[in-house]
Amino acid sequence: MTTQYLMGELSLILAELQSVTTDRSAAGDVARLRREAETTPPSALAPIIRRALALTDALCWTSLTHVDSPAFGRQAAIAAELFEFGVCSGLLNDTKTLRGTRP
Amino acid sequence: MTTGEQQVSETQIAVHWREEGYYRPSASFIAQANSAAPGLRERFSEDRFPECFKEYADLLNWDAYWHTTLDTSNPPFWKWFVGGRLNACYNCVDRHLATDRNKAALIWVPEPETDAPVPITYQDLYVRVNEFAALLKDFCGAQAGDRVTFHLPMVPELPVAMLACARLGVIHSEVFGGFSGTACGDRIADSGSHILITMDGYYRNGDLTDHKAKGDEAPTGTTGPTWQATAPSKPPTATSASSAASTTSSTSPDTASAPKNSNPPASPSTK
Repeated sequence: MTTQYLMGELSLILAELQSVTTDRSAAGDVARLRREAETTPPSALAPIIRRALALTDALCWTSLTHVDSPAFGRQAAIAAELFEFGVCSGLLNDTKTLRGTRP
Repeated sequence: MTTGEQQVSETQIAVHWREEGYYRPSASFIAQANSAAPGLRERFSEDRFPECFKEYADLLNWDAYWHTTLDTSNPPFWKWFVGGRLNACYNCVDRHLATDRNKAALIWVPEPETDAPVPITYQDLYVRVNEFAALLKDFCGAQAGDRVTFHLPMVPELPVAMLACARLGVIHSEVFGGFSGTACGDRIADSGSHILITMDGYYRNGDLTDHKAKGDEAPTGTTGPTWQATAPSKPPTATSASSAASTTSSTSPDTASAPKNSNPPASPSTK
């Protein structure tokens, strides 16, 4: 995988996440994260994908709290895509540290 | 899997899966490999460096033949084949016409996956590259040394546009198709490009993506490209994506749109 591909693919997944974000403030966070993914050096992508996963996790919990199961379903699907991309691209090596932020 | 064993997801497998295996090529594959040529190691031995690479230079067609194989006088700015001049587009396309006119220069595998692969012969490629070069030169006013930005996905129009730029001596900058319009705009500003080549949409992972929206977003907040050549609004199915952009590249002026802050020429000619 080329570095440009990694940056572009992460950008695309974050765009998908942005489209299923129900909260305006969180949408801004995702937009900023996407901007970082597109502008930071490829070597700095790993922390961004970790933050993206943490953000997606928080979004899922928010949707559950609001009993918004359609939103939860869409966000969880993107979380899975994000995780799979991170693992396959080698950006997420230490997956044991990736745990949900809430019980 | 025996009863009682736990089901494992694909992601869990992927976490532990690493590409570490070694695969020995078959004897027949080794026999046909280029590096199996007799005397190869001797021909490219250290004591013959760098003159040994002359044989690769001789595989190309030169407009002006080079006089120095490698200039190491100003490291790290090493220069190969100093004094030489060639056209990369001519070497990739034109010179194959005499013998391989009807041979596939590239075979595009489109989406949706049910669509048939699209072969593009050297003759087709030659025509399309020239059409697009004419569009860049006459309609967009591109000259040698100018910068052009591509925001294109993996479609045949991408190599066509690249080759057209090489034909004119124009410098191209490809922005990954997945990037946002804002990121594309940053790269336009950084490169000082005044022409953006994009398309209206394409299929990605089975979904039709609205790519034109990014193209509209890209010039905002930058100096902006003078011209934004865009494929017309057609559903980019396998064949129509190809023909859509080829319609653009066939220099139809109404398929190129100028941003609001642009200054189009009074009478854009296309050929």
